[in-house]
Amino acid sequence: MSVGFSNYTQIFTDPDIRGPFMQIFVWTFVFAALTVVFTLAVGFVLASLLQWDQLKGKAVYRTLLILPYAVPAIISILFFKGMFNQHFGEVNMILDTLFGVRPEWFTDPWLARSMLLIVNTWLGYPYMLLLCMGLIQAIPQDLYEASAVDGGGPLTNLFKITLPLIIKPLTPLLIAAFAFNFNNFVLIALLTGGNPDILGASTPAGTTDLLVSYTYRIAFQDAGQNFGLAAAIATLIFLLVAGMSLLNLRLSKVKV
Amino acid sequence: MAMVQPRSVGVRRLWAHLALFGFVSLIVFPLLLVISISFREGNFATGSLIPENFSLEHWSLALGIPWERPDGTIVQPPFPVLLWLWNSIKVAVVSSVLILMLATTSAYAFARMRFKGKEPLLKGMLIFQMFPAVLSLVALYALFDRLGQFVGWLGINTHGALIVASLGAVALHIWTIKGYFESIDGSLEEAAMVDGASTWQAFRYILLPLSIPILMVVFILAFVMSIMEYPMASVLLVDEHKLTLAVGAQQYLADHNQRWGNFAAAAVLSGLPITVAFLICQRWIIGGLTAGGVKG
Repeated sequence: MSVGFSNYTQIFTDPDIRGPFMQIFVWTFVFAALTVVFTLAVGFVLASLLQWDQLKGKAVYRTLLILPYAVPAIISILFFKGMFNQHFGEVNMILDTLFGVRPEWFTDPWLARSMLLIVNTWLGYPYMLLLCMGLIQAIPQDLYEASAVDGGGPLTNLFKITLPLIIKPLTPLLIAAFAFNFNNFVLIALLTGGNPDILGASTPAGTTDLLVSYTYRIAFQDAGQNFGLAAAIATLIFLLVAGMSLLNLRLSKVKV
Repeated sequence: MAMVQPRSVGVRRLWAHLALFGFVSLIVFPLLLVISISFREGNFATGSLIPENFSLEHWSLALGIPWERPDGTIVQPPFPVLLWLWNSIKVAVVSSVLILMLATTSAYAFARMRFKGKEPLLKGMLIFQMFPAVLSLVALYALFDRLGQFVGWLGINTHGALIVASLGAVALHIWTIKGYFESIDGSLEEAAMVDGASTWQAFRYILLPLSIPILMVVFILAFVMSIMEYPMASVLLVDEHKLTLAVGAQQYLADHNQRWGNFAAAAVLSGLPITVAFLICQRWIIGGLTAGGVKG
């Protein structure tokens, strides 16, 4: 059976599918971008700190800091779901004793989004830490010695020597990390399931849904399985991510 | 080894320790919680951090030993957790070694050699792996189903299929290693070539020993990704005794009878291989290998 482009035209003409598309697209973009920024910031600062030869016990810190990466994400996400539970979760218990508040992590859209970012930063910074630790090793020590002779402080070293030297090999990997989080289906599916729902949308669409999980819900959970439509949207998402990545590669002037 | 030391170094060291300690305790808290749940009696997700009713039941079941409750009933281990752990380690070690070999050699070619189509190839590799993996699972299943009809060990429900499928991650690692290679001065190899070394010898005896830190990082990353891999493994593996731990552990929470205690014990076990791999590899992640390599 030949369907031609009907799956593609359906995406653009069916109001049920097109409806919340823009809102979800913006959130997907913000989520992926902020994740990369947060994980990189944490990972890079820690990697530079662990590089400091004056610091004792580096091996212990290094091992402890890598631990969030040791447990498969799929398992830790489920534990986080329990921890952020409004009534029984440990997070709210601590917040309650300290500040007397019990935020509704799963029913308020903004809190749910912040929770996703917190959990994803916890899950993702060890990757950046490992990458930065590896790439920093190629920086010659004499640059830091020269900086010390000229009176450069730790901040100068961090932003004028370390960052510029590792950002070049790091850029393509950051773009890849962006693309990975753009499609971070597992996190959304296990932690919030896309909830809370967008009010007034006719398709199952949530305020924390990413484009992939939105597609997944349309294709596999709504009234029967629609592989053709899912494949069409997947292709569109791919074109979108690929386009943004290519633009990014061009703008950041990655030389090959 | 900086020779010039500012006076305030002691204060700064103290601050660094304080900051690191605070951060580490924040990070490790959820993990302590998981360990605590695994030693708690019953199967509840919540409770105090230090177990009130200490019990080894979940651990004994996770390690495959039947457990006798105080009232005399004997609980059989519900799932072969150790077998799942072994499957995970087997798949992860084989695929990461293969990934490391492929990525190192290709990265060398991309970093040091000049050939046609280098740029589109590199960018293509980066871009094409951005296809949303979850949505390509149907295609993946069809692909390995068909392959299995010709090559037995590559069919559905084999670890071979999972290993081959996970080799797709190689593109990212090529970029990582290539970036590191390019930051090493090429004149070291040139000097070797002038003395009569072949390209292979320059790669094997000059560049590789200098790149051990990044190779270890890539090995750990590939290992972690393989242990954690869920979507592909859940589609490609069917039989209970073939599952990897990340897929198998889900079964504790699959039905309404959520067994958090057993799940926690399995979770701690699943963290072991990566921790051990990291402990072994981290001593090679050291700097200064190129120090003094090039003068003038």
